[in-house]
Parts: sequence; C-alpha cells; structure tokens
Amino acid sequence: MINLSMPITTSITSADSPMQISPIQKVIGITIFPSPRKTISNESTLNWDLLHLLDTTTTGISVPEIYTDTDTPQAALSKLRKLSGLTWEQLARLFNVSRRSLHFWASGQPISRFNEESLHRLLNALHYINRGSANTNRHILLNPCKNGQIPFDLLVAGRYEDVKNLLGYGNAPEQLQLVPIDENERVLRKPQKPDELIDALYEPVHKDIGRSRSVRSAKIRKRDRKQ
Amino acid sequence: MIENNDQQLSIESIDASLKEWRQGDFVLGEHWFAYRVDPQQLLTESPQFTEPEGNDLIEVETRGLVLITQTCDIVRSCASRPYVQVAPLVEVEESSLQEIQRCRRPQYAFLPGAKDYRLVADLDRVMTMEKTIVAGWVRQLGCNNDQEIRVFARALARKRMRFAFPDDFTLWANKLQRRFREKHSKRSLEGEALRRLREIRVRAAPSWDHSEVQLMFWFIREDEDVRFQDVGWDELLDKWLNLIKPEGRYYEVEGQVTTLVDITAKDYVESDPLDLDHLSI
Repeated sequence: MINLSMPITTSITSADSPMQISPIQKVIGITIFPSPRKTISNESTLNWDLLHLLDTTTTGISVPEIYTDTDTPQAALSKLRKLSGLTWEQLARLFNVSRRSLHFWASGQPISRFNEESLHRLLNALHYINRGSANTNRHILLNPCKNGQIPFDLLVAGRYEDVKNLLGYGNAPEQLQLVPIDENERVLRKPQKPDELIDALYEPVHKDIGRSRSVRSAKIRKRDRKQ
Repeated sequence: MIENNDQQLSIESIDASLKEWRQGDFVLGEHWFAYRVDPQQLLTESPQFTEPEGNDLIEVETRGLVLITQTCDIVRSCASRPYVQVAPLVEVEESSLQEIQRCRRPQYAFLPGAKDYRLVADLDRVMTMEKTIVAGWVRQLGCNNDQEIRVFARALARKRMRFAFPDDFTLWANKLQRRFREKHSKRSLEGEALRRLREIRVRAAPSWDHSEVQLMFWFIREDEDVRFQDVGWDELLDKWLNLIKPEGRYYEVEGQVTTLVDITAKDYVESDPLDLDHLSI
C-alpha cells in the first residue's frame, strides 16, 4: 500500500515559468498533475509513467476524479473542448498557439511534450471543476469570481491548481450511458460519402415512350369546400 | 345535406384506399404526365404537338407514376390534404440502373420494387394530382423495408435540398474540387484517404453573405481510422488547406480532420454539407 501522505515531488515545466519542482502533500488523486507554481522540494521525482501507474493501480487507491493520460493528445484535446465549452480561439490562447496549430493537433499532428503536459494538466483541472455541462463550465471559467479573478486568465497563466481551488470540486453527475444503436441503423444514417457525391453523372439516360399530346385547358369554377 | 353525406362517404372511401400507400409506391400501365409549355418555344417536344390555338399543356405517356409525397401526407385525410406529387417512371439500361442504385445519377431515384422492369423515378419532373386519382390505382410496392425507404428519401432530398453556395465560393473552391475529382478514384494514398472520409462540412462565419468570411472545413473521417496507412491525417489536411488559401472576402480558412464523436453538435449544425460535385455555376 502506498502512503498517500508521503511527500512526493515532481519535476515539471510550465508554460510561462522555468522548471520547478513541487511537493505533493495531498491525496494523489487530487494533485496527480500538480500546478507548476507550487512550492518546491528535492526529495524525489515523480515522472509521468509513475503517475500513470498510480492512476491505474489495483491496490485500492481511489482516483475517481482524475483524468488518465492514456488517451491520445487528439482525444484529450477533444475532451478538453467538450468539457470546457471554450471556442477553438480561446483554447489556442491557453496554449499560446494559433488556432490553426490547435486544429492540426486535433487532426493528428504530433504535439510537443511541453504542450502535451499542459494539455493533460488543463484537462485534469477541467475534470475537477466540471459542473456537468460545457455551457456552465464555460460560464464559470469566463466570468470573474468573488475575488475578481477570472479563472480563464489563471488557466492562461498556467495556474491550474489556483483554478481548482477557486472553483472547487464540480461534483458532476455521471453521464447517462446510452445503449449503442444497431450497426445497420448506424449505416442507414450515414450521409452519402464525398467520393460518391463527386462522381455524380448528369446526362439523362432514360428512354421515353415517345407518345405525347397537347391538352386543352379549361377554366373551372372553384368549388366552395365549406358547402 | 345528401350531397354533404355523399361527399363525406367519398372522402372516407378515398382515405381508406390510400391508407396502405407509402412514399415510393407506384402504379404501372398507361399513364400520362402533364406539364406546361410555351407553344411558341418548345424545348422537349416537337412542334407538331402544338395546337393552332396555342394550347400550353402537354401530356407525355409514361410507363408508370411513383408517389414522392411523404407517407404522412399521403395517409392524411384528403379532406385536409387533397394532393399528392408524382414523378414519371422511366426505363433505363441495366448499366445505368446500377449507377442509379449507387446514387451516382441525382436526376433519378432507384426503386427496388421497379428494378425488374428497369424503371426508375425521373426526379426532374414532378406532377401534382388529387388523391382521387391514386385511389383508383393498383398499388405496387416501391420499397420493401426501412432501409430502402431511407435510400429513396435520400435520393429525393439530394435532388431538392442542396445548399446553394455563393458563386465566389464555388470559384474559389475549384482547386479543392478538382483535386478531389482527380484523386478520389485513384489508388493513391490521397485517393484512398478521400474514400475514407465520411463527410465534408464547411462553416462560414459570421455568414455566407458577409463581406469578410471566416471558413472552417470539417473533414469527418470514420472513428476507426485514427491514422491513415501510417500517415497522419494532419499531413493530408495540410495538402487540402494549401488548395484553399485565404483570398478575397474569405480572409481566413481553417480545417480539421475530425470524427462524429469529436465534433460538437454546435459545430455540426452551424456548418453546411459540402457536396463538391455541385460546386458549379
């Protein structure tokens, strides 16, 4: 059994400050992705593999609210967008990159280790403060708190722990797990694929019978339907 | 009063006759399809069919007629919904029938029930008629199950529901269209990638009519194709975006390869399906 109160330190980089090392005195489940701005000790180093190991251990450690970094960066970015409700423009500001870069990351372009770490920390913070609705999360991130601080600004500055402390645990309700629809149904709902659409042919190919006639039109009095 | 009773009985009789009819059902035999023309300038028939008085209605014989009205409107009482729309059934060659079945010919809609006759619906022509006429027909089943009904309805939708992109967008997107047309059937990596795309959508902000438009292209792939033959989708995206660079009022152009799981409902409904084949003026 791992002693959860054992000081663990981590060596990490942050988006806007030099590398710092943080002690983790709390339950691992809360600070598994610590803020880069926390206080420092040099007792040991916590690496990402260890974090993952702790996260997936079967020894009884409960880390229910922590995002696991087993997803690809693309999946993590998608989750971040859906959780936060932020626009691509706003998400780009969180990483200090262009919107185009973000779209390319989401399309599969490799992400630097530095940005990947930021991504997972952000996602961890979002999972923690998650109110269960992207719209609500977006609202609380973009509006000033009682102390006047805007959580979004803190995220831009890499102060993820401060955002968690400021907004608190979100206690999001569990998402309803829907039964998957039948595979045949899924196929039926597919739109025509682009490669089928682009190959369309337009010349008429039918044969007419060839008999036609002119028709005499006649005026008729409109029937009164109320009668 | 007697007249009213008769009328009521007639309505009930017609409603009962149409109760079983569904969109896609058809009638065979000698049927005539009417449309209005300018007798001085006939486009489809020879002048011999015009009468000296200048009648402007023509009827052409067809092999049959198919109902294209939605089923819910067909089965509603003719007292409140007296009309249905029909399209003529036309005969095509076997090879064309297969193309129509694969939805490659948007002018026509494939009808499984009429396959053996090599008859398809000609969607270029539609005629309105009163339900009384249909009540006297012998119904032929057009579609056998939900899947076939959906495919038929999709052919109708494709014919009528295309979004009309602005002309300058059409011109501007020409390079992308050309590339897709050239590559989609080839055994190249890009051609195969294009065939793996499920849908392409484009979002114009603030609107298509605005003087400065930001465009966002969504290339929606299948969920399972995380990478494509060891090539990242981002590399393909880069190629495609290079064909549609900002120009004129389209001052910013972005794109992303995504999946249905990842695209938000908001992004989806705010964008229009891009049918590259119809990007022509």
